[in-house]
Amino acid sequence: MGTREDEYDYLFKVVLIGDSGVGKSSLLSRFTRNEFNLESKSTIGVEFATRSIEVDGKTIKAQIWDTAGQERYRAITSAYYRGAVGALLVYDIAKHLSYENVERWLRELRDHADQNILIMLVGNKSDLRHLRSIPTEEAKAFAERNGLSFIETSALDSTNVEPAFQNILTEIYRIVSQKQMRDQPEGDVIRPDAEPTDARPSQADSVRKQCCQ
Amino acid sequence: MWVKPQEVFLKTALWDCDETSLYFVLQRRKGHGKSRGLSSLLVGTLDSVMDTKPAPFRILHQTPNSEVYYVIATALTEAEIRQDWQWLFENVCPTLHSFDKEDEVTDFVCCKINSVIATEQDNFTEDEDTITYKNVDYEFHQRFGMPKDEKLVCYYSCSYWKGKMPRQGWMYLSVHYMCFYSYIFGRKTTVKIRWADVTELAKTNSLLFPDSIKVVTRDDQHYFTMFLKKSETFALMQQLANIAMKQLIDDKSGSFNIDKDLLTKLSKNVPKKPSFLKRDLDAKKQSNRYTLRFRLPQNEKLDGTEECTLWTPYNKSHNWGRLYLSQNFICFDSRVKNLVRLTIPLRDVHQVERADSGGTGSSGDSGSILVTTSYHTSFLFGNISDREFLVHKISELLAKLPNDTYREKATLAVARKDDGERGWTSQPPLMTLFKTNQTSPIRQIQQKKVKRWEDHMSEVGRGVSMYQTTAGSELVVNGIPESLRGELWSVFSGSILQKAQNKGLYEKLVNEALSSKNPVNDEIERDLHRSLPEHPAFQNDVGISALRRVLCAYALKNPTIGYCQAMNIVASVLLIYCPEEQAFWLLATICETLLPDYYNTRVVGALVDQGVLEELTKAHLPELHAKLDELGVMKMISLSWFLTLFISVMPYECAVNVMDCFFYDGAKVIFQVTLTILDINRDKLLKCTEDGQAMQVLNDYLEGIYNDEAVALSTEPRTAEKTIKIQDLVYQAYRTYGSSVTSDGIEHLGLKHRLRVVRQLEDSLERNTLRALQQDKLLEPNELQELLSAIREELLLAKRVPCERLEAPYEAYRLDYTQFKMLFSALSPWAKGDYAEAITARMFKLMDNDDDGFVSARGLSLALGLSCRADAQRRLRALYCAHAPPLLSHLELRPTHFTDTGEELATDAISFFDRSTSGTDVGKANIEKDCKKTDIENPPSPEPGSSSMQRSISEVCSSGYNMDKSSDSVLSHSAGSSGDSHSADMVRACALSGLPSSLPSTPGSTSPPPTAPPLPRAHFLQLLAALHDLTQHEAALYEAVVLAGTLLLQLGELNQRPLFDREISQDSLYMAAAAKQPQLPEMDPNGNPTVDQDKPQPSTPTKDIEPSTECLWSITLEQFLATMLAQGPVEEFFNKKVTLLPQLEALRHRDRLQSIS
Repeated sequence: MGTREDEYDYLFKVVLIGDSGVGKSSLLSRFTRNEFNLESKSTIGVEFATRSIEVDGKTIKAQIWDTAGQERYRAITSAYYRGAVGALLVYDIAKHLSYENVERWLRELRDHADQNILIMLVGNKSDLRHLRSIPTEEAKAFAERNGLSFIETSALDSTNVEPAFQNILTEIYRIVSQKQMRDQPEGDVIRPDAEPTDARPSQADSVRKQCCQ
Repeated sequence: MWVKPQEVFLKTALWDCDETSLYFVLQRRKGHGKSRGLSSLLVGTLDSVMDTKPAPFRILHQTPNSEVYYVIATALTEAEIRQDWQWLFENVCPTLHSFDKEDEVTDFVCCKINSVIATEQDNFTEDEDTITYKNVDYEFHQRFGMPKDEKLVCYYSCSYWKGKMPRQGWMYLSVHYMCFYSYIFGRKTTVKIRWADVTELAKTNSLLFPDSIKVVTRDDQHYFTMFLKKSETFALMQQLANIAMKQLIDDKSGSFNIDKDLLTKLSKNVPKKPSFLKRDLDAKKQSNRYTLRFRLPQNEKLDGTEECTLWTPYNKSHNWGRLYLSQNFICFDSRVKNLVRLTIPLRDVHQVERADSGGTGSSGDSGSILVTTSYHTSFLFGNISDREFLVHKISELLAKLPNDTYREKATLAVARKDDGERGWTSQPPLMTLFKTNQTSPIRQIQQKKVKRWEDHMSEVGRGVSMYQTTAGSELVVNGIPESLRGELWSVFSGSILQKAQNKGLYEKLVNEALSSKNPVNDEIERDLHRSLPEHPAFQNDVGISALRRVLCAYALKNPTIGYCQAMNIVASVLLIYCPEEQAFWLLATICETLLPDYYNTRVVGALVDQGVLEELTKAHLPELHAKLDELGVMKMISLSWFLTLFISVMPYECAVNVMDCFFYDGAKVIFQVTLTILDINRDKLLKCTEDGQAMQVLNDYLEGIYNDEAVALSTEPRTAEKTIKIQDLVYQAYRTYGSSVTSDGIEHLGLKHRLRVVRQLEDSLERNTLRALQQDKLLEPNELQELLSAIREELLLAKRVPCERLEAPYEAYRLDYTQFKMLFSALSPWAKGDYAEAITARMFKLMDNDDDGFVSARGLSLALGLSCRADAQRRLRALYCAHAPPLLSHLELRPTHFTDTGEELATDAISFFDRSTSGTDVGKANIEKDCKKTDIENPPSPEPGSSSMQRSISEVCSSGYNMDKSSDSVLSHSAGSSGDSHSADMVRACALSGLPSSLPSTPGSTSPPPTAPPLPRAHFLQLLAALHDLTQHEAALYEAVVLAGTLLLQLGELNQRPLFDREISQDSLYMAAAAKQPQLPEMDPNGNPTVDQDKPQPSTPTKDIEPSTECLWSITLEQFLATMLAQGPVEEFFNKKVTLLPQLEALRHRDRLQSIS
């Protein structure tokens, strides 16, 4: 933990999931490198990138894991959900099947991720207005019913990509910092891994950091 | 006495024929027995003088169109030879007619006789297996209660460690089980383990269990020791476990098949073994080794091997090694590793001759043969001990080759046909269409490389039959020049052989694939532009279409793999260097031979190799392994490296250098390179504090690998900071791990990890299933756990395996009716009485959501949960729904007779109930008696009902289900016409409504609460009969049911009446229609006044009910529930929670797998 890159207050692991070809990797490269390639290689297994943002004067390092979307990789990718505090569940607004499969992805998260993981439903490719097959309202209603936050993005014209990640990271930050506030009166000592089901790496790290300051 | 079949040329000289049949001749030597003449006397003398004394009787084998005869038996007495003759007639002759070709007959006979000799130790044999073996086989089945079709492979003497005492006994290895039995001093020990349950097999040597074999299952571990042939036993155990695992992976139902072909091929070379199956397995193993070693097509079967030398002209020396012979190939591998390897396809062989005057070589004198190919290259083998046999064998194989005149061209010519009519053109290597601008230094390097290869190939030959030498492998490590890649990849990987054997197949597959609508094509379509997007060829339709053709054709060729992401990336690189068809066959070779199981539906192969890599890392880089394990990245890093042969992680122009070695040396190269990469980055990795950091370190390193001997054609500039030259990386990998990471070692580790991976996949499937089932909140978690293992047991017994499916985890466990019935009747309280069969069948149908004859694990758990755990209302509703119209079809209601008689019976019933209600004062006992009478006499009697149900179930399971379905649709249609349609789905949903988790629906769809249709009279009577059956053991309860039933029957009449009054004029017409069309008697519920539906009044006057048509008779779910639940005892009975654990325990006890007593 010596180099400058590593200086952060919080580290959050976020996973990108959803059907193959909905644009998970594009969202990732748009957010972390502000790049967009109309065509990039399909993700095999898992890929990974980071970016740090500021919230309330704190540096939050987002570690974003991009997963393969094809069905047969699901058993493998679900192993990467471990330790994730947030998930962007992406579908393609022009592909109805990718929306129908959202339910299955949710089940996947319920089965393999932490109980308290924050989930954001992301309708990507909002630039394809003329091809839209899922009305915004419908998806929004579905998200509400299932307790997810919702946003429509376009990695191509970068609409809402920044807010999508900002929102979920901020929300995670709020929850984690509130928990810390709540926990603090109980004692000032470091309590590593007090609650293993929630924000495991981030909590441990941040507590360690604060102690060092 | 049987003798080893031996060719003889003269049939009649010196011999007289006593008996002849189509394939056999019984002869006596002249001078013996009856024939007396000059010649016979002479022979007699000759015999005595020359002291050869051949046995005077013999049996020859012959075929009608062949001049070659084989002696197969000789005897001193006529009685003896007659016995053999008799045996031949009884045992061999009947099977011979099934062969098409004569040489097959000969092969079979010779093999048979050989095997008889081989197995004949002290007993005369009657079958393939010896008497002792047969006895053991019988004992095996008896002792362990094995099903008849379970095949014993081999048995070994050994000891089993029970506690601290070794028990001496026998280990039995069969296709699906390993068992142990000992009986010493009156104490019996038995162990029975199914291979599919084994999680670990290992040879161990500890103080406690010296020199033993350890077998670990989910719940236990066992130690076996004191083997006579430990390694043979262990190898067989591994092989059998592996077969079981492969079955679990592929869900190829059906047991192991004896490969007759293999059997006849190898029997001569295999030492004496008790069972043919064992021999077969050995043969299979040897053949697998052989095909892997020489990269031959997988169906190639090894025929025999022979020690000999190969003359290598390039260094003028004889090299000792082993010659391998199979149907289509002659292969040679030197004794000194990697010195020289050779493959000669028999189809290329022009001539095989004896080369006697081998004066040039020192050892050329004895037994040399010269094989000349049609390209005028010759290969000289020397020091062959049994040359005649070998020559004979080769010519025999040559004669068996299919008669096609096609001969593979040595150099690769790109087929340029007129492709007008098929609408697509097979592309040449894409690099020839999209040329790179090579700088002159690079061009020089490439030219120099080509020159070196040309020189090399002028020495060792070109194409399939080139000598693969140490010098060759050195050239490979340095990287194959771009222009030769396609050709050499095909040769080294063996895909060239596949292509040659399947001429025209690619074109056929492409045409078929492009014209068919396969969902997999959509998946492929989505990834075409995401394969190698930086290469101009794939920014262009030329490359994209070629890639589409290759992937779609392969998905069609091998549906068990279909299309797996990563194949697109690999295929795109192949297309750059190879002509299209060649790229296709290379892809096939990678998927099937070089990286088996990698791309299947659960990427099992890749997972297995991740485990292997982890173990190798632990062995070679222990410190790093500990660190990576701690960070949790060990499992993440390698997946894409392996699946895409590094193409997705390093620049493609570098990854191809790894591929050069991969095609030449096999999958071990990927391990070697991976270990090297980890090793090089060791220091950086050791400093990492979290998984992401470690990933970044490796990503940066891989992206920075460069190749300055080739120019990439890429629109994406290579900007990453350079880290290592690919040639250096490959060289270092070979130098460091070349000798320590071997194919054999990897294969060995692979088996171990396959056991683990398959178990993990199964476990996670089971966990997910349990979690999903618990959401129904009917059965307790421990009950579900037990239930699931019972289901698994039942499936494995039926030789089927849980097969993961997309919809939901529990869908993996699919029970057919027999299996469902077995479990349901063992567990459910509803399946105890006379009516059990009918209820079971109806519950099956209720749970068979898609009418495909299979019920998932959830279906069974729901059926059980609803019958013993749900509250009374839901239990009764489920029963009601199981009897509701679309599910309980008319087929089941009219077992023997319908139309007029059906009505008649119904009329009977009505009049009966009319009688009983009017005579309430007669006494309950009377009713009871009468009711029983109804049960027996009237349609709802259990036997006909259940048998018809059986019938309909069997129809469901067979394809004939359409009929049932169509009647259902007619039904729902007729119901629909009356304004209220009830599909089977709706009824099923109704039965399950109120469960915490209803069936999955697409987001956003909200359906109205499901309802069940009203029951027509006949259906209701069935339901009532079922209820009677469930409750008959308790008088008070039974009375209550009878009372409620009576009320409901009256109510049904009431429901019918208003309409009857109203439409009395149409009634006769309606009846006529009903008689003609059995579906019509659905009542019209909308026609009924709904006022008295809610509260059935027991005091309703009934005397004015007239027995008449049942057309409009109906009872609704609400009426049924209200009436039934109004009866205290009924409600109490159906609210009683029944625990399933004792039954599950009993079930488990019944088929407990590991019984140790």
